[in-house]
Amino acid sequence: MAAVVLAVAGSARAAVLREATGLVQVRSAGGDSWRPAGKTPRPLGEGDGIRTGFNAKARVELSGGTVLVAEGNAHVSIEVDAPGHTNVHALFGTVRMIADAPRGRAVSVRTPTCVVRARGERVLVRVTVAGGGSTTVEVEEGVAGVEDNRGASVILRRDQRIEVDLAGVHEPTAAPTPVQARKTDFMALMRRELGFELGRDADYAAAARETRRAEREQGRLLTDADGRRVRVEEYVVRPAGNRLALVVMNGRPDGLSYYSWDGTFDVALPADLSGVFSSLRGGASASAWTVTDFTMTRADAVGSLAEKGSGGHQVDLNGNADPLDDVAGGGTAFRTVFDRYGLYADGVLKRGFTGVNLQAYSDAAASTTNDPLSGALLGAALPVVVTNTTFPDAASARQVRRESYGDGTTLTRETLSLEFGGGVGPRTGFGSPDRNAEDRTSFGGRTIRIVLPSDAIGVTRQVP
Amino acid sequence: MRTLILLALLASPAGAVEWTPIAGVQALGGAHFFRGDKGALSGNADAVLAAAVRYDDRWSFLPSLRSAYEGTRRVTDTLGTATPAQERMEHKVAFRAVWADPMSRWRLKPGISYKLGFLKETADESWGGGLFDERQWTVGFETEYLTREPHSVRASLDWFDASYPNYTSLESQAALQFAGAPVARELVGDKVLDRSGARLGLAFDMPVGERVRLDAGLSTVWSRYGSQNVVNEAGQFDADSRADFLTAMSVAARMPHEWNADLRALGSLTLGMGVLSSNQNGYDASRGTFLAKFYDYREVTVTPAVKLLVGPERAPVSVDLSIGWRRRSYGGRRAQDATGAYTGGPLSTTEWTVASTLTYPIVKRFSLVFTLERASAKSNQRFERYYRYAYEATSMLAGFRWDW
Repeated sequence: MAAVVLAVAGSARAAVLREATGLVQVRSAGGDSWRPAGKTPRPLGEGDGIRTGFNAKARVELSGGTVLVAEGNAHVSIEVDAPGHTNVHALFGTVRMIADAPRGRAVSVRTPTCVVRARGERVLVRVTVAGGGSTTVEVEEGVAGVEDNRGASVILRRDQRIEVDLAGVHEPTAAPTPVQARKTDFMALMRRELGFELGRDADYAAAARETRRAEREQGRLLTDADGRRVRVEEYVVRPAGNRLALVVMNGRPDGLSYYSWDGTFDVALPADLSGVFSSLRGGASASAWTVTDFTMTRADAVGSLAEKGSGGHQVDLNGNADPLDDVAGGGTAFRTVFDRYGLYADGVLKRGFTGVNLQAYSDAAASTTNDPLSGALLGAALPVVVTNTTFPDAASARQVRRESYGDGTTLTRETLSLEFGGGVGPRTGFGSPDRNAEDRTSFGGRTIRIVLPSDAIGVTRQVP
Repeated sequence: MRTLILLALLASPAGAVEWTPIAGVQALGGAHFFRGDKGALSGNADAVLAAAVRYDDRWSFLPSLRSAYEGTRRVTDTLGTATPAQERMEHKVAFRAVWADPMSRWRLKPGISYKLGFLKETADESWGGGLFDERQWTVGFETEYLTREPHSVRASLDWFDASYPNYTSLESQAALQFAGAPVARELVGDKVLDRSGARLGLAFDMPVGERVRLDAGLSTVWSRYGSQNVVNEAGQFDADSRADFLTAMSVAARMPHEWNADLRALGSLTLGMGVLSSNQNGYDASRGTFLAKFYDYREVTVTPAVKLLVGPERAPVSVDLSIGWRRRSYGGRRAQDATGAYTGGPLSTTEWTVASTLTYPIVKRFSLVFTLERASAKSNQRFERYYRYAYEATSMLAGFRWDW
């Protein structure tokens, strides 16, 4: 009995941790805690676990002369270490075993997916266990048998390798030479770095994308009736406390054009102009702010068309004597009516009218020999004008208003309702809030083109 | 890049330098459908070429070149800006050095890159003449700490300078006078989209239990728009310049599964969050309405995905399937009704995407690729005169991929 006990004790003490470089920890059989390996040599027994840290190494001598080397970040335990049988359990990382198995002595390494057995007196085998238990076995010397969890087995010879996972053993392949292995590792590292390099672009791309998106959302990038890019900037200028100017600028490859509406009010305006803007088109009650004077300009680098009005006051169009200017819907309908108005092409008066406290534009007197705003005497009497409004294309949203003057000149104002991605919308698109409008004013042999992103043009619809 | 390799070789001890090419090319042709309209048949191409140079046991260098062309829009693009003629091209050259001492857990990686971006959005724009053509420099470094190989923690800091050479504000171009006064506002800048700043990135990956791997990342890009002044309540400019913080966070859990040797899967769930914080405001001049913090938003994304691998491990047929959900809320921007009137609630958008890709290996390193993507977006924003907030979009692409 005593001899048996001594024999068992002797075999349990056969394993020795001979070398520990870096962080090497040992957990005793049945224990819960890992402790530093301490001084070597250190005896190990069955059930003892060893784990290594980054770049660490542990060298263990097992019974019968077998040597186990655990490389960095490895986790192994000694399952059996008897005179005729040695078995190591590799849980993670890379271990290298130099098996000395004369006369049929059993030396093996078990992993979550396979068992590697030495088949010969001297076998050098390298076993790497990765995530999910997938295992790579490489034989550097001798012959080894690899058996998966399903019982399938493969014999590996020198310089052969095999991968084993939960699905079983794969086909053996030639193990890479050290140079090949180094190149493979290096390429994997560099591919990873390349992935990081390209991955950083995503953040910059997102920032650039948001910039472009915001420009669109604010209506700064539109497409005109010909499918060409139009850049738009729209803003207000406050020249005085009782004045505001709405400016719409268009940018095309061939130059700039702009629309502006500069209004002077009877009282000072608030900082928040939302109420002022919504009142410009009129309403059921009189607005708190009355436009007394305005100048509306369409211009490009060559010339301009300006409309000017003064003497503005609010009138209930549904309550005046002219039934033709009534606003649909009944009730009161206050609009601003101007006593004096003039239309100027490149600074030259084309037409105008005057009146005193006009209640309807039908009461206005057309200007003939005097400037309606300044009263200055004109060099020649204004020519007679005939206005003709048409929709030249029945299918598309295109309205043309042509003013033919007695002196042979013409002034054409064309309004188009645009598709989102460019082009002219269908006739039903007029007035749709989904569509931008393009305003083309032709006189003197040229055309001023302005895409108006907003309802800015609505501000001008106060004068016939 | 050849010059860079040559310089590295000349400066190295004889016989110590090795280099390995890394390359990948993907070319896909297909079509994009947006709100029922079919775009022209076109294609996308993406090529990466790098030379991995091993100088010695510690130092490696990675010069790389990437070129991409996009003629068919993807559902991950910003689709509300859709214009029928949109094409995009990007070229980037980068150089990264990697210091990795085998005895150290640390890796240090300084790098520099330059990118040219070209965007044609309308028929009259040409390559090089696009409004949003972009040039970008970045210089920075990354540090990596290996926790348990191959897992690590990474931190990076970059400086960047991005410019739009074709974009100058119209207001600054115009020397307009109006009734004797200039129409342009005071403090108006010219290159209002040019920006410079820094990017900070933090990321780590780690195993969770036996089978799950966790990837997490946080990055923030600080951009200063030096020529863009902050808009105030009166619609005029203040002296301060615009500055943005764009922050993105993501956490992904990945889990492999094997049914048998010929059928495997990698499932993943990614949660993401994005926040844009800016000091810039907006001013709706059409309605005289001030929109404080116009650019600010918060975004949440959830993306479950699965990759099925069928066939031998070295050359499997793979099928990628993913579903994405994204919700974005603009804290300072109110939704508008169809006429453009502000209705009070904050503007929000919700987007669903479904994407599938089939990769079929033909010969070593060469695979056929088929992709089908669909996106559906909706929003409480009804005013869509400038930008489409609600849409259905589909992209179909087929082509090949080659990797070296």
